[in-house]
Amino acid sequence: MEVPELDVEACVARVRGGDEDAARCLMEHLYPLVTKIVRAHLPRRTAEEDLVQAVFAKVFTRLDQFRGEVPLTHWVSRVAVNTCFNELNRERVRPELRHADLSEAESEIIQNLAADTSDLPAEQALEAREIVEKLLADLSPADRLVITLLHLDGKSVEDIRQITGWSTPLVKVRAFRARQKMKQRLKALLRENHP
Amino acid sequence: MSELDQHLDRLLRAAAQAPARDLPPLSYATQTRAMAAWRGVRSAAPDFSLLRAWQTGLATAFGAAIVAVGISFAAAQDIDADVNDPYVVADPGVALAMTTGWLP
Repeated sequence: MEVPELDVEACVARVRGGDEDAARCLMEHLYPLVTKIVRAHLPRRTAEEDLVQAVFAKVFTRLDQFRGEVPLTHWVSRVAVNTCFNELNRERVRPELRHADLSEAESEIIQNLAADTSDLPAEQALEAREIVEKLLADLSPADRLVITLLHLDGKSVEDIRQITGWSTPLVKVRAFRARQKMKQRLKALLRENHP
Repeated sequence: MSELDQHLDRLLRAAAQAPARDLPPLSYATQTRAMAAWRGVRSAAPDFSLLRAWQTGLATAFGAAIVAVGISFAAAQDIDADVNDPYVVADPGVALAMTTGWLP
């Protein structure tokens, strides 16, 4: 049996009127998008489910502000990214990453980086992602956000400008500075690996 | 591009290739908690239509009060003029005497 496609406009209108059944339908429709964003920007000490719930509560509460000038998914993405960003801001303690914090597989990747110039094999992608997550955890929320959007989600500078509301020069400057910080931390890891 | 830049690029490229974890189905608990949070915000928020009606009523009442004070003040001024000016008090009597020939 084919599942009928959700009429987003009608659903949004019903949610604005306080219809909870419509809100549940909209939540199911947007859940994959919101979860993907939350996972990409999740603070270390926050549960994924808690943040997903906070994003949806914000989406429903602020739905009156949605003018329909952009697709609903774009608007929801922006709300989700900003919610994660605010949550990251609350997490003040950002411990410095040490080589001892890496698993054996992650440590092997650091060795490979120094020894080889070719791309890392696909089977090491998950461990590479873990290392990047650990390097990002050390950065400020803004730096972390810009690197995640630019390098991991593959967004353009224009996309990031729209999602964050920052100006184009600010996005570029933040990306440059965040990259410099990541390089410093990676350098320290490489040095620890090959003193 | 420095060697360190190349290392970082390779690491980021590999990380971007990491497969997405399976998406768990939307749990009833998450859905219910989100609904409860939304309901809480809705019940705490003031009813804007009622607030607007109250503001309009207040502004109208204030305007009406200003107009009433103005009218009362003008009327009070007229009364003062009638009572204090002897010519104004005498004029109706003189006019009556001249038209009817009656003198008290």
